[in-house]
Amino acid sequence: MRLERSLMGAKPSLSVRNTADLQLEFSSFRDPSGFLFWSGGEIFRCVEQHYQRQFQHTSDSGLYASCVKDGLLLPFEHSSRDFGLAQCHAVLKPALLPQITYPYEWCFDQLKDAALLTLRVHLRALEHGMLLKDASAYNVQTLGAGRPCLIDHLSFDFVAEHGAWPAYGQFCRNFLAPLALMSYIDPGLGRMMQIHIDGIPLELAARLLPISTRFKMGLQMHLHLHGRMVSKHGRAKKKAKFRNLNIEQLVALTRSLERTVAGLRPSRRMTEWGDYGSHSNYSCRASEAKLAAVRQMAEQVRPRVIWDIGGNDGKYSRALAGIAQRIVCMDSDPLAVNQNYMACRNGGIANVIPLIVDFTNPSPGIGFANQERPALEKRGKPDLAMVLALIHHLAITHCLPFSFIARYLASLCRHLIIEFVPGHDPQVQRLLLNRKNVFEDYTEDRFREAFSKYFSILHEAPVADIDRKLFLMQQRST
Amino acid sequence: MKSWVALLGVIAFVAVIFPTAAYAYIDPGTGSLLAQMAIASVLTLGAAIKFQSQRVKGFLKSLVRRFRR
Repeated sequence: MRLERSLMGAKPSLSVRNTADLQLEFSSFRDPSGFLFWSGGEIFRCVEQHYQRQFQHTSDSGLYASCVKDGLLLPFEHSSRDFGLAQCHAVLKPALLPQITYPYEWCFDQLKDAALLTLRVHLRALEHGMLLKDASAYNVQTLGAGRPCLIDHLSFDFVAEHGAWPAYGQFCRNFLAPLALMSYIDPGLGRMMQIHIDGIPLELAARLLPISTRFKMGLQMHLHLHGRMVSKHGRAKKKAKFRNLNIEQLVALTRSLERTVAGLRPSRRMTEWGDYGSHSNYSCRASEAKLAAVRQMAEQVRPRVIWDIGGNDGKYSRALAGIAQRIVCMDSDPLAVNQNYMACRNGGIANVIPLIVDFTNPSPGIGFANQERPALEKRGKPDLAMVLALIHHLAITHCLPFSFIARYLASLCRHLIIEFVPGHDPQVQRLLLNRKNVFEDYTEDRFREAFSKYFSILHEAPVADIDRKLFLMQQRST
Repeated sequence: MKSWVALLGVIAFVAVIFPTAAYAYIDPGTGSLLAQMAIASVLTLGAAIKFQSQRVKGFLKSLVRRFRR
């Protein structure tokens, strides 16, 4: 049997003795130094023979150990299992990540933390005569809010083998450009990373950024000037002459990038939900009663993974952090997600993962064959989904029929906590203020009817002080 | 400080006069390498100027102190 290295066949296929239970991780086809594969529900990383020198030096110099100790690199152990992979110098068993997330789902501060982590690892590598040969944002994952770590153990290479930092352009496209756009134009522009999988072209970012950024030393050098030089020299017909940079110059370059990234601040632009707390019509008592009811319902189903869909600033996710192993709190508003991220980071809440996700347009599969970066629902599903104070937005703002919402939720989760907001609720009236009310079907009876097709109602509870209702539902067995 | 302003001026001028057209056959690697060489040189030059100016300042201060005594 043969395990194909990649769809394109750009890499040699693997000769293995027993591949019955080995499955190549599709997304690792770009890495020339090794690849990831799955076996028995566990993930492994093959270190190719030709990467042996680099791998040995990174291990022997203590670079791996120091990065793992300081939480900069995903912990791993050497696997003693024999997979029969002839081209592997070693097989590593990295720790399993709680949830795979992608840069276009991150808020400003999460991307900024990932950028600073990448630069810290690069500086650490320089101290050991190595450098980071890749600076892709996809190589950073989070072990919890404020705890980013590099997951690619084969990103290190000898400084002596490169005249300059080979990942400089990649760093600027993957981190600096989206951060600058999120900071100076709109916090939602991180979603541009979904279109530009290799990072936002610097020329494009430079054209979009306000002229004031040309007078910021770091942005002028690393983004505007850099973008112009990429455009000018990228189409040159003559071979360019390069001069090697010494370690001091590489450190100076990295420190300058560090100062530039650290100097970027999240956009102050207010968004619809950025100040949700003061605009919602919940009294303090109603809010506490709702939280108590949601907690009681969640405890009843003992979920391992919760998705808080439309979770806004993550108030309910953080309150329930103690009852689940992991809570993915998703909202379409980048400022609300950023608030949640900072609250989790400052509060040391590691198992709440804030993400920018629009429930009506969730992250699709992107990249080669639409498989390189899988869709959100392909990266793990929840045991319990919470849909609180969202149904009126879905049904009225987005014109989604109850049956569509119910069917999609049933495809995601076994248990559901959903809040029904009645038509006479002030928030619904606000939505209908300047539009024709064509939503006669927006009633509790229709809601029950549509959801009962896919779920059975286990428990329902009115929220005190406010005419809304919470439902705990369980998917009907098919 | 003045040297930094001058450097920024030079960089801004260079940035403005370069053409902006984009082509499908662009190799981003070459431009990135050349850009970082230019930027690293500017940064180390700036650091050297700062270091030297601090040394000169320190020397002048010590002269002033000696003169006052």
